[in-house]
Amino acid sequence: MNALPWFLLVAPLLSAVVIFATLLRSPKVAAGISIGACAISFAIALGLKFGSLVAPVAIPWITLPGLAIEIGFNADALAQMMLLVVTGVGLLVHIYSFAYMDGDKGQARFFAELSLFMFSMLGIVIATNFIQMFIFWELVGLSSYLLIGFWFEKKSAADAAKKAFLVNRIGDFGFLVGIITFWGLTGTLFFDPATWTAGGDSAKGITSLVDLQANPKFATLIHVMGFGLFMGCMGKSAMVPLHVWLPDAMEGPTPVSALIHAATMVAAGVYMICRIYPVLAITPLLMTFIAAIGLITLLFAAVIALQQDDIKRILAYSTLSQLGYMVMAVGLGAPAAAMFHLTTHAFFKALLFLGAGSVIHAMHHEQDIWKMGGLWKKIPLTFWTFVVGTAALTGFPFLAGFFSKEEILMAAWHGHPFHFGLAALTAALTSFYMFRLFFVTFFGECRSEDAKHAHESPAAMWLPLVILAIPSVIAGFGFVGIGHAFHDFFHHAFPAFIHAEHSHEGAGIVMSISIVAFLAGLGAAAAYYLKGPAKDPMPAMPPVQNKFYIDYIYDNAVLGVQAGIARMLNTIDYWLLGTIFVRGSATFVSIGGELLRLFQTGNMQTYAFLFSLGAALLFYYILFLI
Amino acid sequence: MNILPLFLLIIPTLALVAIVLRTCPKTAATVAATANFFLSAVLFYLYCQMGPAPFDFNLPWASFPGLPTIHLHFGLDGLNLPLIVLATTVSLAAILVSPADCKRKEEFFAYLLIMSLGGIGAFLSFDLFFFYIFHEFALIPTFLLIGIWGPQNRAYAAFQITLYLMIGSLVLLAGLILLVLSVPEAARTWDMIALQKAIAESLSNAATAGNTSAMIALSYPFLLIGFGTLVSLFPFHSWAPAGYAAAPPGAAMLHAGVLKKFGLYGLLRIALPLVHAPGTQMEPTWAAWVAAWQYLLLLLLLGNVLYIGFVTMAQKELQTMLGFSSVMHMGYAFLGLAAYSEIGFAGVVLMMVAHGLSAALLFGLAGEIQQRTGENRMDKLGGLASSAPILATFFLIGSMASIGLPGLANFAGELLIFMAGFKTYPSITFFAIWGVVIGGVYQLRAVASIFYGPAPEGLGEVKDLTMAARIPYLILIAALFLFGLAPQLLLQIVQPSLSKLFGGA
Repeated sequence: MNALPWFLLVAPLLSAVVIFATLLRSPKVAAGISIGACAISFAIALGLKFGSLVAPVAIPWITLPGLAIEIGFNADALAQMMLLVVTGVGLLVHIYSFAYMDGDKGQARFFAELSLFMFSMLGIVIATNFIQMFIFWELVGLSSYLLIGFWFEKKSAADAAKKAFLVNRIGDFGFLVGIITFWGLTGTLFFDPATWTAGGDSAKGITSLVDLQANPKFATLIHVMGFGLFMGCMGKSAMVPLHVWLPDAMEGPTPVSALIHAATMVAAGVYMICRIYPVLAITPLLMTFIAAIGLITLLFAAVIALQQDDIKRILAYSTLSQLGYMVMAVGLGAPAAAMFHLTTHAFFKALLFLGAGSVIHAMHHEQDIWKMGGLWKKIPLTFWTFVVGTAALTGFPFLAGFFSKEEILMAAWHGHPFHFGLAALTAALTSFYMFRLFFVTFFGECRSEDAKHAHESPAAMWLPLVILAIPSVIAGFGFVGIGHAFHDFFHHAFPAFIHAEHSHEGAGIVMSISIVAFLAGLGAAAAYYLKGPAKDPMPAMPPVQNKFYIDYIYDNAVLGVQAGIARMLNTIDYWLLGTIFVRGSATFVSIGGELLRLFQTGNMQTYAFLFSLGAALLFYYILFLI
Repeated sequence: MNILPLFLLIIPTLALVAIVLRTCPKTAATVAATANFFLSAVLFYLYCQMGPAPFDFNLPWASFPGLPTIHLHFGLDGLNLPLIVLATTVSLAAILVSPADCKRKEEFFAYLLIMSLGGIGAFLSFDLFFFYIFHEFALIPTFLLIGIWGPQNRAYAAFQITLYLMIGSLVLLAGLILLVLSVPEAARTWDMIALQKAIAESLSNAATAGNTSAMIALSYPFLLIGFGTLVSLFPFHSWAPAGYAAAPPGAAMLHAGVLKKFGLYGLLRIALPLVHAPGTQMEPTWAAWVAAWQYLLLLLLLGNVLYIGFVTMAQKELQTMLGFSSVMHMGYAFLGLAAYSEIGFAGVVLMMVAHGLSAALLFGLAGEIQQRTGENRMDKLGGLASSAPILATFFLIGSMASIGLPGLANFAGELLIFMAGFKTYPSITFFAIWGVVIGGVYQLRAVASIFYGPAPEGLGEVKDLTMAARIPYLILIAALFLFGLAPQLLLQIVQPSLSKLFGGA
């Protein structure tokens, strides 16, 4: 029996169940169990990657004639890397939360929900089939709902949680349609391309995806399938126009933002489209669409980030923008670059969010960067790790983000000049808004009492920061190896869809351009913000500050129209069906009653006669007319 | 051995006698419901070991000249056993949540027991006569429970639900009689299974096929509308939200959880297999007639999912919202039925059980909320999660079950239904899946509005569920998790019976 790897899932699940059931009043024990469970998962992830652990056999879930659904364990190279990212970052966030959430009355509940989240997210990573992925996909939706709405007494938090869940549900609608269409077309639910060729509907002449693509009869369904599946990604990875939930989700505790809005949940969408890459790649129109959505998101979010004042919201928009890069890379046919960027981004964005949490903690829950300033000498450890995170994100040469972003730019460079131009411009914007955040927060004068009295966070908080900072600095070149590993994986997994050798032609130019973009952003930010001005010297741009009014449109137009339809139908239902039908038939009955009253003579013989007449008619009908 | 299932009926009857003999009514009802609950669990276990054969009970009961003999024919198979387990589980929960000292308590618990008895009896009967009569029998206490103990609008609601369900039942009766009459006189029978065989034989005989197919085709709309009304098929749904909002929680749980499934069960077991029977040689005209009704059903089920879905969003009162939501979910069940495949029907059976459990859970909790706050308008509530965290957690679990979250039973049912629906009617299914978004909107809005945010002024401190009060909900939640995590537990017994239903000919 090779059951040990299942503890990857079982440990966090048990932790969640045990805490919910018995430990809600013992926060310290709960935290210990939750951290321990995460450590077990991390150890198993290490064992799968570097040790001798292998994937166990699948567990059947539903078995019917013509349909077998199972919970499997996928431990290929892609899953192994993703497991390390999720459990590694997850473990650090767990430890950090121990200090960050100390004293909160819901601390035990927080750790239970964190464990539930880990369980769900790891289930997505090891999924071997679409239904399994969808199951855990939905559970991630639930656990993020719980975590975002952790402080549910606050109306804004409760609303943000609801918004996140519902926007994700819209994506899930598409995902489910896509999954079922895939099943209808291929007769299988597995990701393994081998089953697509073997399990296809040979009666319809389908033995592979290429057959599907070649057969014009299935053109509509292939598009429904592809767009549906991608819609799932748009929900989870917060692509425009389903991005609205992510900035609001900053209502959750900061460690939650670090875990689910940087390293894991939002990455699930990108992971999914990489995992099923050939299913999408057979539809050129869809690939164009994916690249376009990625491009729009990366630019749009970066522009909005230029004028936000809340430290977490800036990071949230930055996350959106980076996710845009990843999705665009998939659309441009470079899933390896997308996964590479996903990996590096998970580390440095978690570092930035946790750093921001440390700042917020030091500032007594103040999140407005204009009320900070001069923090570099108050909280030096946070400052130095934040330097590393910012540099890695903005593409400082030879740090983690530099290599992964360069791969994406390379993918655009070959034949997509428009995408390349805007992506490079956005790299400069990224550098600008991140250094704006950085300079305003840490430099200049202390602009509030809280800032003057800020002091460093406890070790459980700064230690994860330091640990996350290390790979970003010294392992810069190590990341190149990861990029190659992803490239090899996709090349071997989907040989028909991935070009054998990616061209290095133009690498020098692309690298130079990205360094120029980095420097341009840094220079502009330094010119405006290095001295830590008291207020934003940039002219205010209302459309940007208001996030291009998209939330406004949703809240009023979309919800208004929807509420209008609901009210209108409700009125129809109430008056037409509820009243006219019922009252009408009631009137009918009472008129009938009045008529019948005429027969109500009180004469026993009349009744007997009418009864016999009725019985006779009934028998006549039954015996002779039928 | 073959009388063991009969105890499912005998035990509640004994409890009724005990109530008449002045035993404490809640105690008597609870003991009976608990015994039935464990008995159904034992039956489930034995059935898994031995199959359907040992549980058949068949005695001639009464015969009238010109009519086939009515039999007391009870038995178990993979289609009714899940519903019997559902019925005993929900009955136990419904009796446990009802207050022991309500007004006219003897009658109250007697009526609850009769509802439960009627539901179990209808599912247990293989004879059409008793199948129908048991259901009718259960409706009478439903009206009385609403009319006497209902918290609001009870007179109008009791009147409306009476009117609808009685008319629906009459239409259904006409359809059932047409079915019985559709075979040559010698072969007529009230026995569901024998009748299906007789119809198949009659259809394969050239001399009688024409008449039989005409009669079946004629009966189909009666069965569809009759059963449909009992399941709140759009547009015959108005009774459900109003009735559930006006019913005491125990009655709403039993009706929404158990009795409403009678119509779906009838369609699944009787109506659809006949018109779709394999090898059926229906005359083209009649085949087209049936197909037309089939398309109508597809449109109506979209009415259930989309139209009612939107109407549900506009609701302000919790119980009415839950009532509409249960109408909406019936749309999925109709989709699974219309798809007419083993996967679809398996999904419908799962969905019936799951929806019964989750609807009972939510109606019960809604009753707790109203009893604690005296309020049923969701916008007047708020912040209950702080003062009553257990109540909030249970309601959240019920809501998540209702919107089809994996891990809870409803998801597996809906998934199978969507998959089967897609194979037969992809575009209808496409629109029906949109229901997962609509359901999420109204259900989460309710959760947020009742439990989150700050508590409104004047709501006061809301007491959480006591240990004892948690038991009925924990039973329902445990069952939702059990069948959600291991749907195969039910499917393993459902599937062989379905193969018989589909491939048996």
